[in-house]
Amino acid sequence: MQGWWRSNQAVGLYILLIAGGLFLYVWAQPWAHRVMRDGFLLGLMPMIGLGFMLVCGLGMLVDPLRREVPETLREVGWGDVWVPPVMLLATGLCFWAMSWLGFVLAAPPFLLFVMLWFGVRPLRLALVLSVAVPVAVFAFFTLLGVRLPRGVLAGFL
Amino acid sequence: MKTLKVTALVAAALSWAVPAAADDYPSGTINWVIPFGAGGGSDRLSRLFAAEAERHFGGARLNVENHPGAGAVTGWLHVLNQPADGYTVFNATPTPIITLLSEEDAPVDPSQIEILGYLAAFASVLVVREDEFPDWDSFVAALQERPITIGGTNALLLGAANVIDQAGADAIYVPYASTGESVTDFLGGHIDVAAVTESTALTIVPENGIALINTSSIALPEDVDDALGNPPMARDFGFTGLAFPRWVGMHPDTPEERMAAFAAMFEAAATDPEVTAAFAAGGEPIIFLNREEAAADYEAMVNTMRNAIGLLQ
Amino acid sequence: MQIEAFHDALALVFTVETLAWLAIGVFLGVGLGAIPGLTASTGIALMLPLSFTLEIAGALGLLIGLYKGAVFGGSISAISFATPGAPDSAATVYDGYKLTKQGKGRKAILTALYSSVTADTASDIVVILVAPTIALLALQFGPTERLWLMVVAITLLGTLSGRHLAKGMLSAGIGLFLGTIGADPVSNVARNTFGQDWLRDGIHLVPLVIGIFAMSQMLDQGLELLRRKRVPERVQERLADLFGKKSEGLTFREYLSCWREMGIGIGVGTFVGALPGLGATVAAFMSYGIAKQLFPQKRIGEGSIHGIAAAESGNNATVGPTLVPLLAFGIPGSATAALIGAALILQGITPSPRMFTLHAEVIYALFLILILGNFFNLGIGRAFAFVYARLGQVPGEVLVPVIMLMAVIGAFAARGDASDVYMMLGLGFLGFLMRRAGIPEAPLVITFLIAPLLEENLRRALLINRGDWGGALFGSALGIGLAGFALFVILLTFKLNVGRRIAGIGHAEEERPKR
Repeated sequence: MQGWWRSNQAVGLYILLIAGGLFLYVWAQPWAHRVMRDGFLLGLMPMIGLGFMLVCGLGMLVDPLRREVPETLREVGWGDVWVPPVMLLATGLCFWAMSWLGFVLAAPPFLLFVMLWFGVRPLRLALVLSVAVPVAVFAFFTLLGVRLPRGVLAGFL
Repeated sequence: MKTLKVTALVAAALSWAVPAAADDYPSGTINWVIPFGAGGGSDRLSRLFAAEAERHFGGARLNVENHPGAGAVTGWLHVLNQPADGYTVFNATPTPIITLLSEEDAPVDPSQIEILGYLAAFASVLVVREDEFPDWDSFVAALQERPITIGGTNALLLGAANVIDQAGADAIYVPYASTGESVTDFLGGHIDVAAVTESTALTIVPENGIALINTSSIALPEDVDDALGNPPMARDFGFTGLAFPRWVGMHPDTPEERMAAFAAMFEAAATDPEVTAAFAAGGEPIIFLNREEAAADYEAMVNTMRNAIGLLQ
Repeated sequence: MQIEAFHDALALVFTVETLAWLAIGVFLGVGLGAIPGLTASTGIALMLPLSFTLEIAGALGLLIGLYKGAVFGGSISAISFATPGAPDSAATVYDGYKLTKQGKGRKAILTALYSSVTADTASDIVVILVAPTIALLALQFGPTERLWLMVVAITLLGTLSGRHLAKGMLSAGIGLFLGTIGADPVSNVARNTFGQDWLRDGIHLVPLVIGIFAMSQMLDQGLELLRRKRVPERVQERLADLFGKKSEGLTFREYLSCWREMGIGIGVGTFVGALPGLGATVAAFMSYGIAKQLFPQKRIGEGSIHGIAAAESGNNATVGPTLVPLLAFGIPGSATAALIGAALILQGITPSPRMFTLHAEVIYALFLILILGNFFNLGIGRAFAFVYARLGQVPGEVLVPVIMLMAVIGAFAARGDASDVYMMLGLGFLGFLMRRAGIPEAPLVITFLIAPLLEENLRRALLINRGDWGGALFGSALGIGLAGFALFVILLTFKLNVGRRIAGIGHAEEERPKR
């Protein structure tokens, strides 16, 4: 059973745990049991959605494909655990910086960081691209009449 | 929420860096906050107002800011997080009030704003088929006898529920996400009554229905009223009407002299014939109420709405 | 009288000014549409102030050209970067992006363009000929009938689930759950918001589609880039020959071979477009689902131009019909139609049933612009196809960060709500996890879109029928007919799939997990 945790059956179990937890959470909320004027429970639809997920999770525990390991899970390693969150964090930080620095100042450090990380070389190319792309995007959006956050450069742009 | 606060802090720090003395108010930029995204009706009207009426604001620039989200309450919270210096104006509709009154523990109370005037007000007009309900009395009589379905968007149904409740009757209120759907269902005969704004009513009356009652507390512009066949108003039957204003307010802690100055400039702008002409051409005529009238109507509206929302939950 | 009005309309439309504004509109539309998050309605809202300053024909040219261009434009980035420019192009991603990866991006974009223009023109002709009839038919669709139409759309889910039914249905369940976040449709009380006020408006479709389709794809590709061996010169080299190589176009034969898919798109799109509140996304997915269901031999979903043709003809066929309720009754059926209505009002023409008699020349001018716009779309779209198909070949090391940046701007620009961006990032992670587990994304988007509509219409039907389920579900002949059709689709899915599934099970049993 080595590598069982990658199989469809295991995925089904994870789904059962997550959906089950969410179901218990919704069930425990007072709003879920409030009756609306048309007789529907406020929590009915969310619980139907979760119930649906629970049934599918159960199905994956027992259906004929349960022993199969999805192609995409075969090579999952530690990279899958930390790389996407770091990419998302960098993107989120870039957006957060945009709200006060403005688009033109916040985008280049983000682009430079990700491009260098992904292996764009030489450094000169990465530098040029990470400055040129935001400027071009900003110019194009301005041409189309869309105002991107201008931040501290508001006076100049 | 966290980011919102951080952004607010940064903005606050920036605006304190350039303090404006009380005597030269207004100077620089007045931020005109609306709690809706770009492209909607409120956005369009605010930008029209900013473009047409700026010259009445003592040389200050009117800058429209969109702060949508959370049932239009995000914008309200943003205004309360700004310094109360008269440079942040909140221009909203009943939408955030409906949200706040629908919540059990709302983040703010509808009274946490100082009303400085109304720019416009739309009405909930009940449109019916003439052969079914020729007038209000026959409609009320029918309501007592059988269940009647009234369709419309949430806000407009509140207007309907408010007068029908005061008439001592009840109906089945069918909520719709958009006016397009509710009017289609009315024209297709799936619902008995459509609760619509006066501008939508103009497209239905007279070919496909009549305006039974204007449930608003504020009269319609004369030409619109004539085109709709001068429907009776809520007050004609002794009811308290409910208007849906595009109201303008400020942080309640703003110094009184600044609020008074702003209210005066706002009045001058909203009654300027050039500005009113531009709005009339845009299909949304200005219906101006000054600070006192607006504040009184606002208070009554919140109370009326509180009751009507209970009817629809 | 009518002939005279038609002559007036010709004089209005065939001026240098009107044609120039139409061209500008299409150009802006394709450009805006190709940017994730900027949809047709955002574009029209942006151009509305400009349109006020124009003559009526110029204003209509600008707005309608923009609308047509934007609905097509969404497919360009769906094909080139797996990032749908607008939700209505989400169904195009499957086949389109696979073709781009095979180096056939130009072929895919041209398929999208030709099927968009074909379906758009055909549906415009239908609108011009029988607008009042379609409008009357749409009136028959009350809550009961719309409810069943949604059920039909949901029964098509089976075809989009892929090989593993439980995973497809799981995806649908997630979409259903996410769709319930926000205000209850009947009472307007917050539900399922986890106590967060900012979730009260629910999850917006644009950040959802960008997160699930684009961001998750970028996370996946980023990982792949880091995993493979780094060859430093490669990026520079590949950037250099971006404008050297010639890529494969589309032959006329291939275009003709898509006639069935385009036919489905035209039929579905025209009707769905005329019904208020549904829109191009529903039409595209329905058309795609039906085509996939009917022609399993065409391998739709595996990089087939037929899939692109079905989805793209479906969404563009809604453009003309969206204006039907506006023209017939003066009611805007969608946000875009409302904005075009606003432009008419500002020109002194109130949309209403009286428009046909009071302003006949404007109606004819509108019809002419609807048809002419398609030719402009064809020409301008081709130029964009050329540029974008090449941009799709930009090496991933450069493309992935840039698309991530565009995803952020897109999620923010759609409404200007910062929480949309964080929501998009979170959904990107969800999409990434689903990808890893082999769970398809399409059912999630469909139930997210359809389940709330289904719930709304069901509860409306129940309110109208005073809580009587029999009346709410089977109160009209049309409702019963649609229910029968839904049953037919389910039976057809079962019959078509049962054979394949048995084969699939046999296959799965042989293929044991590797040790």
